[in-house]
Amino acid sequence: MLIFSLSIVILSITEIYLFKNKSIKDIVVFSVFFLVAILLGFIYFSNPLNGSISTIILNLFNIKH
Amino acid sequence: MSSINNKISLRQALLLFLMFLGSPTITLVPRLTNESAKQAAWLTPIISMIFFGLFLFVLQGFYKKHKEKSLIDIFETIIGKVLTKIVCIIYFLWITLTCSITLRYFAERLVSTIFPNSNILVYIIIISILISYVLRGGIEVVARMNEIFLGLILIIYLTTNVLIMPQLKIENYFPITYKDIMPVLGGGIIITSLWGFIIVVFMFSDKITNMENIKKMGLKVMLFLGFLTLMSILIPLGLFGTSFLSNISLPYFMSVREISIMDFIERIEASVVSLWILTDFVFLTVLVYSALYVFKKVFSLSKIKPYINIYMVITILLSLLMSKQIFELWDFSKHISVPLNLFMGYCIPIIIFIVGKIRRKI
Repeated sequence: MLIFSLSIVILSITEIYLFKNKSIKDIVVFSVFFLVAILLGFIYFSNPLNGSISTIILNLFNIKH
Repeated sequence: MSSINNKISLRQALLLFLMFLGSPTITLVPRLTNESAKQAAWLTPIISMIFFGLFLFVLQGFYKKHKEKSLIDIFETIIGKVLTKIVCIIYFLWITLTCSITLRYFAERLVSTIFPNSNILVYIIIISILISYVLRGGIEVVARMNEIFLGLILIIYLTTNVLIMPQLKIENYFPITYKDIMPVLGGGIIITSLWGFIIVVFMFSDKITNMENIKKMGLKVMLFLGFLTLMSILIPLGLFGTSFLSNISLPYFMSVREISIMDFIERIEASVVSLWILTDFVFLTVLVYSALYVFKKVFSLSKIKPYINIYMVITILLSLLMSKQIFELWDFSKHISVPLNLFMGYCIPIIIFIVGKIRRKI
């Protein structure tokens, strides 16, 4: 998780640095992407889900699988 | 027709569509249509062609007055800014979900066929890096590259089909009675749902020239696609028969394994694997581009380039979280993806088209 987070942070800093016109909107949207990536990374590495996204959605619609 | 001013031609766009349907057509279609229509599965492309042909008239209607606009801009003209943003966010989520499923299928197929006991993450990361790299050149690079790939893919596909033909048993396609009408309709809907991905290509139709010819060229592509889909069903069905086919996870791949030329040349299934890799690569590239393009339109962003890498990271993680086993993914595709694709690919555009006609915007 630590390596993953560091990689994402480095990637994000590089991308923001390379933005041609650093408008606030671009940086905010990028930050949202960054947070989603970190959240998904946390879910993947710490594995708090009982099942997977497929099973959750299938169960939500009450589909036998 | 080459790309002009960072734009691609309608022909190139439709070739992208033709190419990216290759992988689901040879992996999902034979199995799912056989489950639904049994020995009559080979009739299912006819149903899809009828639905798709009618849908082309809807698309032609959209581009009659707005041939230079993207589908998102046309939606905005018809249903207003706020509703378009909501629709676009739904499309973005749908494309992202499809992208993560495709990425997972790609890796799972490789592991289950030619690289057993290897880690799927390796293949997911490799293709993601490749997609990120290629997309930096823009969609026109992908479209041009696709023209070369498609020729190669068609040669492989048609050659393997011709080689396997002597082994097909005609009795496996019959009997067909009036009782097969509903199952064939059900199977046809599965194929139709896949063809609904044409909407993904037209999300960036402002980057496509000659959009006014969509009906004419679309019908040609539809006939060709119908033929290719028919072949992908006929081959495994004729070779294995409906009862045996229902127990095979990758029917077309298994069919090609049976090819033996004078007991001398065998095991040419690696060609099918190259076919998967190329078509999946094009499919994923178009999906990522389309998703980011929709996102760019929603938030009026300047460029999509800076978001490619971080979006690929999200897609990789989603693909890993998607399922623990391949069976879950099959169930998800069958019960969720098929209706979802029909809704996103056909229902939403048709509803907006009707609204546009009522409001006389198109």
